[in-house]
Amino acid sequence: MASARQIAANRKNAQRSTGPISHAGKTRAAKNALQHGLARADSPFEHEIEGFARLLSKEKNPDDPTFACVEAAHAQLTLLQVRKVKAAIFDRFYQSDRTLDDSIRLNEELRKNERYEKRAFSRRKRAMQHL
Amino acid sequence: MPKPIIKSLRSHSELARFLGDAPLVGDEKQEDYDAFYDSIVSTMSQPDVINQLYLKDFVDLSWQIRRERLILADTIRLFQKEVVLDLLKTAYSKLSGPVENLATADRLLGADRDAQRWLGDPAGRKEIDADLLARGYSSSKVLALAYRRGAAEIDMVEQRIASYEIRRLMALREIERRNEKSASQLKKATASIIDGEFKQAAE
Repeated sequence: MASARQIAANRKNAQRSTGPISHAGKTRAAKNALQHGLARADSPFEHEIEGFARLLSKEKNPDDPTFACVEAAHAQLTLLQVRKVKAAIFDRFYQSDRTLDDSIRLNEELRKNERYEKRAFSRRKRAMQHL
Repeated sequence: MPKPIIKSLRSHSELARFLGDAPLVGDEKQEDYDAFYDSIVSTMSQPDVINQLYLKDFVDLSWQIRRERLILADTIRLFQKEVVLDLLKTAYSKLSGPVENLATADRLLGADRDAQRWLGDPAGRKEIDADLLARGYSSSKVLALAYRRGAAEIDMVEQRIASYEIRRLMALREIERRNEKSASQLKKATASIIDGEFKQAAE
């Protein structure tokens, strides 16, 4: 059990642990847990979605793509990003000695990646059914 | 590094960017992928954007299934090697004879080296298989032990293959819905390519 003196010292020290103060520091710390960016809530392809949505609705109405076209374009771009991460996982494996431990690591990394691919694939499938 | 876009789509740069690069990893080659793509899709005439998307999915998933089957074969072989190593260690530790005998000491230390030989040298493999058979462990028994030992890892690869198969069938169904004749030709083309190459790898 901590003494009253230790508790007071802990509280005093904790006052100094306030995390990054500058904007640059906060931006850097915000990316601390970022490994592949596949779970982020905002879309990293906002500028590309529209063009691809127009491409999908080319035969019908390229000037005014439907919501399904936008949704399918977004899901396709997510899929491409997931596949890039997957390619990087495989490249790491092929550059290794391909031991049993390397195979186990590959399986584990692909298992984590798979859920993002499945999700994007289903999302695109649902949207494409309306095209 | 991004791989170049597939040959047949070079003239439609925006579409090619949308469909994505060839799913190449390790020492897989662009020209092999292009040949694979051409051999599968040569039956399709003038596909529209949506069909091109499904077609690319179909080819990429077929390519990935082929890769995963090779990984599966490698994984099983690695677990077989682990089983062989354990059996050799047990066998060598039971060898009678004085430890100061150089041949005995060498064999005791050589289980690792022999297991590696079993994995990489066909002649050495034959010799070690014969040795293990004499001790009551046939090749099929070693394989069964490897399956038991690596069940979790083997299952993970098989699940990935199953998952790709489902998505590939989905893409095929969509192509079928849009163009029945082309879909049946696609189905036949990929089945013979993938199965043929896997048989070669497993031999």
